[in-house]
Amino acid sequence: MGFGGQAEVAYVQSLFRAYYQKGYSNPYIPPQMERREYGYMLFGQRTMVRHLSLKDPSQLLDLLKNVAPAHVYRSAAIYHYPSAPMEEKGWIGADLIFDIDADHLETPCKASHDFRLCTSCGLRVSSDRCSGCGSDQLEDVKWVCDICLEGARAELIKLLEFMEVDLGIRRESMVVSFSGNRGYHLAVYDERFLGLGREERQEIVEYLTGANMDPSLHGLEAGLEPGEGPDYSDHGWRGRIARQSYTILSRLARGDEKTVKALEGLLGHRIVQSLKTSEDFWRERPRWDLLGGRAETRAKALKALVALSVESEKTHIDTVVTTDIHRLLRMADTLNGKTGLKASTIPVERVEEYDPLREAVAIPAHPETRIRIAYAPRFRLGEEEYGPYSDEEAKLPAFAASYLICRGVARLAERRR
Amino acid sequence: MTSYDPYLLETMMSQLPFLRQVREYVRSLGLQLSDFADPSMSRFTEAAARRVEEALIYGVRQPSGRGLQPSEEEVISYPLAMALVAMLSSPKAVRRFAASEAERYGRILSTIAGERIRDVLLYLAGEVLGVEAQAEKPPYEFRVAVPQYLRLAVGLNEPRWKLVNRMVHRGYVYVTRPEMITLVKNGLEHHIRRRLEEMGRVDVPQFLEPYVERLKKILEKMEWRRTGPLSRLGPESWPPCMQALRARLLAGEPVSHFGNFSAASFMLRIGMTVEEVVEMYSQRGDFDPRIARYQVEHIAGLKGSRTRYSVPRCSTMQTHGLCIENGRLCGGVRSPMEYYRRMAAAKGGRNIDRKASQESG
Repeated sequence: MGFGGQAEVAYVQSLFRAYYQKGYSNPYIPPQMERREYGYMLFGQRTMVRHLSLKDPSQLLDLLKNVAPAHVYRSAAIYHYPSAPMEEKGWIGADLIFDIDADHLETPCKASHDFRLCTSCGLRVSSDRCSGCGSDQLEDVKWVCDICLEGARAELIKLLEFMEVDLGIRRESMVVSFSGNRGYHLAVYDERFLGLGREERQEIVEYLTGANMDPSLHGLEAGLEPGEGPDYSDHGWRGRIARQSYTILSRLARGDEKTVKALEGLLGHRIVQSLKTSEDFWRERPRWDLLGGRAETRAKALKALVALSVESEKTHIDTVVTTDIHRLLRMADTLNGKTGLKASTIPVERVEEYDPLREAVAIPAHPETRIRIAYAPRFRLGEEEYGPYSDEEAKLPAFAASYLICRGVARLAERRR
Repeated sequence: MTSYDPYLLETMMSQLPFLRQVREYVRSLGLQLSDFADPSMSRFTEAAARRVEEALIYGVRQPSGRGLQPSEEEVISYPLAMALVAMLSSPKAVRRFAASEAERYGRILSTIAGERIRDVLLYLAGEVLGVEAQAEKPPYEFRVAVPQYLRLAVGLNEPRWKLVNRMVHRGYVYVTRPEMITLVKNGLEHHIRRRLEEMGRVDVPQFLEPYVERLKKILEKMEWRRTGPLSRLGPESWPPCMQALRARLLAGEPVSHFGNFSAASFMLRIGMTVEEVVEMYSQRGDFDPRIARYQVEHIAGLKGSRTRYSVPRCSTMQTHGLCIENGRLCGGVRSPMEYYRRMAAAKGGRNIDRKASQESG
């Protein structure tokens, strides 16, 4: 079904244009804006117009008003010649950027709300061929709900803590934004980090994701004596692992099912049972020496505890984004053509309370628009919930109508096939 | 601004000729390159040439004791040695000279005793390398700002240098004294290399021509030594990652796209022919000799962009999960090729030894 036809493009584009004319006030402008590359994508097209340079905010505004693009991007990098071909741009440095996408998280809601549509007849299908018209032109539609977004927010909060507490990055240097769809972005503009190359950024990625960690280098190895090994108040990963290990042991003592299952997957039933009393000894400080009876058991338990701790403390960022020093990223405060929602900047101190499905709605409710919806699970937008819809017409506020059209599951009702 | 003990500065100046103060001292003597043409200066010229020669031949494995006795000769010959390296206009010479000088300074640093070393390291980090570092409480004696730590440590391949294996807090990485020495040494190597690169091409004055000629000959011989024995060591001498890839390929087990690429570029680089490399892939379920051949030729630079692809470095292999046991078996090499070259050098040496003993026996 894709984006529908020309009528849909015209409808959504006019709403976007109206936003850039009236609603796009005091937007985020990246530092050194004249040294960045810009790009955009038009509705219904797959290629990006890029290698643009813009001198000042008014040029940007003119572009957005005139073109009303579906997606707007800017480079993380700053260049001597931002509009030159890639090899000739003259790379100076790049923001440190992070992308968290609920798509990459294992949220329990996916199975319940992602679905497949036939692009020729609009029927919802569950196999590799449309049961209605027999077409094999199918499209997987990824939906988003509060559970997805909470998952992404939790990862963002971990990321921000890593940034501030471990890497010592000041809040003023960080720009957090909603992606306008399923996740969050963070761009760090800090002169000290600007010049880092791909390999140095890879090191940061591995730090944030706990990849290639050798626990023995954090003092976590078999055969520790009482009082040895990381303590709760230790800095960095050491403290994280110590604190999270205690949390896991407490949950285990309480009989928390998920924890028992995760540990049993690594250790087997017998050892996990023997760990149920470990929490008692861990109250004052971690007792890595008191994890089960035999030396062999202790070594295994320690390894499992560390592995689970790292898994829950790490932040699930899209690792290739951060290491790509030429990357274009969505420009904060512009509209996302996949949803019509605004990729709003979020003050760091508001991250915990920010409600994207309400606060990122930037298109007005008027005009109410009648659309034909192929299929849509129930969704919340603004103050209200809508749907579910299945092969039916509905009259919705403009922001909800454009949301479904942008997602590719609805058309204007007036349009004749 | 930190103030530094004048005695300390003096000690350092005589031993670390790249220091700004030393450069200023040499400049204050008003010496020009042409002044060295005078026969009375020949001992400095000789000293400079010797310094470069030793760097080229021994690299980081210089006989110990070398360079630990500072002298006016050392100080004055240093800029001339730099000029000589620049005259060779060879990136390899630049790399080798910088590495060898840095190694020497590393050795000097490890001989400075007690509390002194802390100030010396902080001075070098802050004033010479522009690295933000501070003294800390034991067990860590120093902390280094994260971005600068990354620049200094990114080429060091041991797992303990990885950021994920470090204690990191409020923008700093905590390091011990020996680690700080290694970081500073590494920083000095970059520093010297950068200064040489900035010098660019330097014309050779007539009086230095014989020296430059001699050094160029040495360099040529070195290149031959490096590339000569490259041809064909058996798979038992390949680095563990490549051995593992080879085993998987021969067993017809699935190998990632990047794994295929790495293995092919490695095999080509050690002198296997396109045919031989293609043959290695013949166990794959989806083997198509035509496509395989095209891909291998592409990697070899015979097709497409004509770029000959180089073998990925250890860090890249690690990123793709192809490194075996985090390099524990590899003795701190930075790339699979470096491992192979070392094996080749070791093998070459042994063969020669055996031959010699046969002849004598």
